[in-house]
Amino acid sequence: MPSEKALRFGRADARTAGIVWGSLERWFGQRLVRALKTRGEIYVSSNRWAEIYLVPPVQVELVELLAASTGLHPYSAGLFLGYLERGEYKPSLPLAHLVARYAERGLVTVSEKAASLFLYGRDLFSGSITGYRGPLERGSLVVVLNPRGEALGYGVVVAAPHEWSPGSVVAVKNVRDLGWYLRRGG
Amino acid sequence: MREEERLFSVKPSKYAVKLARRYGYLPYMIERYAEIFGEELIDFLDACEKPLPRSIRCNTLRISCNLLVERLEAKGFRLRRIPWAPHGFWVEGGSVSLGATEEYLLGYYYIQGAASMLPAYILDPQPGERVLDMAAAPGGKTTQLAQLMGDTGVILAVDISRERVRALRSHLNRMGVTNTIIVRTDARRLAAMGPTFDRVLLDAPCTGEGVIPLDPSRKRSRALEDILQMTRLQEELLEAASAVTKPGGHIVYTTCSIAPEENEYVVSRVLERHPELTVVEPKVEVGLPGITSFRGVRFDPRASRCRRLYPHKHGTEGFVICLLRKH
Repeated sequence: MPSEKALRFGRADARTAGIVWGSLERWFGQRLVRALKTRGEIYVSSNRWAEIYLVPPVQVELVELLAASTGLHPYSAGLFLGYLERGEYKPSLPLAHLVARYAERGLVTVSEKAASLFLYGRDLFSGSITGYRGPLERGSLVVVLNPRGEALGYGVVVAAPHEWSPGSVVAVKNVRDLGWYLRRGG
Repeated sequence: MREEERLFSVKPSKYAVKLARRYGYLPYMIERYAEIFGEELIDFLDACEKPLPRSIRCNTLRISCNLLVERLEAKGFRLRRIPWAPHGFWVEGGSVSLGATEEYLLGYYYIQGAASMLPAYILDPQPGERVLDMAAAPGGKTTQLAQLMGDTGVILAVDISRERVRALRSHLNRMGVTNTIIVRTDARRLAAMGPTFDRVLLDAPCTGEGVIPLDPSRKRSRALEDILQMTRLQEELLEAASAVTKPGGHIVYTTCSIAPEENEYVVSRVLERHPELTVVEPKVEVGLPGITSFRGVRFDPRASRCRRLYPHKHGTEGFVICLLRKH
């Protein structure tokens, strides 16, 4: 965690906001981006990491009062959207819940058994995929859903649907799943 | 003899020494418990030897309680409503750990002691308000406040510990809470913000004298001097809570210690200096009244409006909760 003194929390510059919104639109479509933009503005908490938050106006007021009266900056605020790593945006687990609700593409639904295994960090075989939304291309990021439509985490497509037959191949590699909360607590 | 000397110089009786040896406590503790519990002393000590029932709070930001019960019962758990906690359930059975189910990972519930659910209900935060949680990590009460506020308004959640703040953020993320700002600092620094908050929760750092059923090492790990030191920090934190509460606002002061020194005594001392504060009766039907005199020291009579919960009476960890209003 960044030290209290060095921690800075401020509105994202246009370039950072562009990377975040652009990535989300490319992976999951415009509807998600529109829904998120109604909730607040992008802020960055930076020191060793650039963590990205979506902060509503009611919280911005308090963040400003806090800084003015005590000199303190938040550790986090609003919705944790993810972080930037070498200029590349990595979406957060709490965002996956909203992706499941608003995405026009980039959703993969799996069987109950595969869902359980995915939560232990396992990859997904093509035979366990029961449905998907939008075209799945090699390298594209997807949110993995269980049969009830609940978001379990993120994966990256390593075999497109036309490569799935015959037999079952690893189709989606696990990037981050909710089991992370137990394994790493983050 | 000064109040502080009377409270913090305990000479255990032979009976207290004997019981302390039998149950594995430091004798000063038993001497004090004898005054708190009287004839119920052995009941209390016996109850502390038994594990507490497990309990969870369902997270209505993510799922209805009925649906959660259905899903967990399908996995072999048995759930029973906690009468005083609208979202609380006692949990029995189950072949997997409560902290490793899919429902847990999805943020559908928080594993939380039954008594520790009460402070947030007593504070009763409303949607759209500004709320301060002064010692927030690991986040059981913060996520509960957010739930009661429908994830609207704003909570400023403060904790001084680096590791615990990390756990706090993890729980907020898991449970879908977005109305919270986390700050890592000493909450006493926030007094500089002035009267900013509608409601303040101070789940104060304490010596943990109420959680012996969960942590038997507490029977011998803290000296009376530690309690004295803790009361000074608690007073300063409650002073800061008062400074940041808007007129007409409410403060919940609570600890997981049953020590009157850390509860009614602290509240009484702060009331002495702050005529704008008073203790009000919480609207809950559980708990015993607060203690108004201990070891010959009289506390503010309004401290009787605090609520005390005990393992042998309520089947919970020991807890004391005081609701204050600022005029």
